[in-house]
Amino acid sequence: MTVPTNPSPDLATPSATASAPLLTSTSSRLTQVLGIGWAISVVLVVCAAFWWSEPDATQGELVRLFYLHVPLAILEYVPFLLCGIGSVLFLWKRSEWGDLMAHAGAEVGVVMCALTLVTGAVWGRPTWGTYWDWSDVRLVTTLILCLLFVGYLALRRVPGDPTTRAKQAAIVALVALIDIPLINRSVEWWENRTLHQKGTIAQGKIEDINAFATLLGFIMVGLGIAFLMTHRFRIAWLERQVDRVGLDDAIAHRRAEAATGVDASVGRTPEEGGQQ
Amino acid sequence: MSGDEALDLTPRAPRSGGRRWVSIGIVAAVLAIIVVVMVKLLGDATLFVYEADAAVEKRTELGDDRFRLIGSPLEGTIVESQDQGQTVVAFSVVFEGVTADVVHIGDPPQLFQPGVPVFLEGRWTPGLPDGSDGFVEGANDGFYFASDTLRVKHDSDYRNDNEERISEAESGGEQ
Amino acid sequence: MSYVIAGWVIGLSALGAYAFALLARGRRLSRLVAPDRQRWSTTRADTPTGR
Repeated sequence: MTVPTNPSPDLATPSATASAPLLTSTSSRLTQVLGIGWAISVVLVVCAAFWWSEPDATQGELVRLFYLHVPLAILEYVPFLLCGIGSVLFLWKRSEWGDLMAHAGAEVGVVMCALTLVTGAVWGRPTWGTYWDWSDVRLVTTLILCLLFVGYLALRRVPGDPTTRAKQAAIVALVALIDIPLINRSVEWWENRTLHQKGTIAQGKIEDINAFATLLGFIMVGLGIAFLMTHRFRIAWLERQVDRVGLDDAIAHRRAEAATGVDASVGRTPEEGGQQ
Repeated sequence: MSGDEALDLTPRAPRSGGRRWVSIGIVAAVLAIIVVVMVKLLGDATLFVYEADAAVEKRTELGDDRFRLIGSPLEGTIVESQDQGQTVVAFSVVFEGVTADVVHIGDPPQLFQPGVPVFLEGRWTPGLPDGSDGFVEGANDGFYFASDTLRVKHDSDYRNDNEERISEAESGGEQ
Repeated sequence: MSYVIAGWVIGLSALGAYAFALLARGRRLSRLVAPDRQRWSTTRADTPTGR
């Protein structure tokens, strides 16, 4: 295999990193604002959930978990949809940013989806009488969505050609996204096979202070997703840079070998060395 | 550098297969779990579901088949007792004006209350439960639904306790 | 009420733990990459990097 080489590795040299203490994170003014906003919204939503809002006429105190579970359950789609958009951009335009966004969206989405399932299970035990119900279509399709994206993340860790791997991952992401409308419509299509109620939010069936607490829940989870997505995207970007530096290093190594005729890594000529 | 255009970049040693196989194993495990989950979902989907009115109408046809019954517990019918260390709940459910009597063995969920729909799993049983003289304000039609699974399905309306009390007061405490 | 508290504690602590894990991962990785490749940084111009 032969490729033209590119002499400018982006690795921060030890001297550069030593003199750049301020540049050792994925934080920026944007993420600082998002982080502070997120922290404030957490405090507000906890106050609204536990002190400002009223118990529900049917559910009583259990409704207080609604303000966390429902925003998580609805907004978990956002990182997955960003993953889908990124995947389309990669498949269509070979966009590197799209691929990185897809990777970031899948990971943040899996965290949100897992938390949706866990908080839902904790709510389900006293409300429905069980942590889990295999016949509830919404529950099971949400679990499948989570598992599909866990598979997506595992696929991205399989060593191999990055472009082929990104292409395979993008296709898996787009197939997995078919599950989202299924989850959303399951309470309508299988009404007698789901313990979940029909859309409370969409039909405006929550009012006053409880609606305000729900709104705060959505703001809190939304800011959290924005904060996590931004950091995760930057991590994906940094990982790509590190990979590139590794490749550039290897090329520089081979170039040195080609110039001297000696396998620099083991100190012998290729004729003497054979396989490493 | 003159040799750059044709630099040999052929890998000299095969990559370590360990990480590849671990990753492929994880992908395979995830696929296997998805298949198991689908089988569980489809397996549960084979259980027929009937609202109380349809279940009563098809009682002969259903025989002692296991099915899922849907209805709302009626006010004043719920009687809880203990039998050999187990909670036994006798009550009646209604759907479209048709009442069916139920005996459920096991602790009911916290949200179990009159007017909030329930999903029950079990089968029709002729006669009355042992030691029972009949269901309080129930159908008492010679059959009861023996249930071992009770799930509460709450509706999509969320109203706080105070609002409920105010609206009850406004309607003259009719409810 | 114990279920409600458990749900909130699990939810918020998992989100917090994930956020801190991301920050730590970002910090570790950004030491390996040249500052001029970290476009989000606003302190780039003030920092002597030798480049």
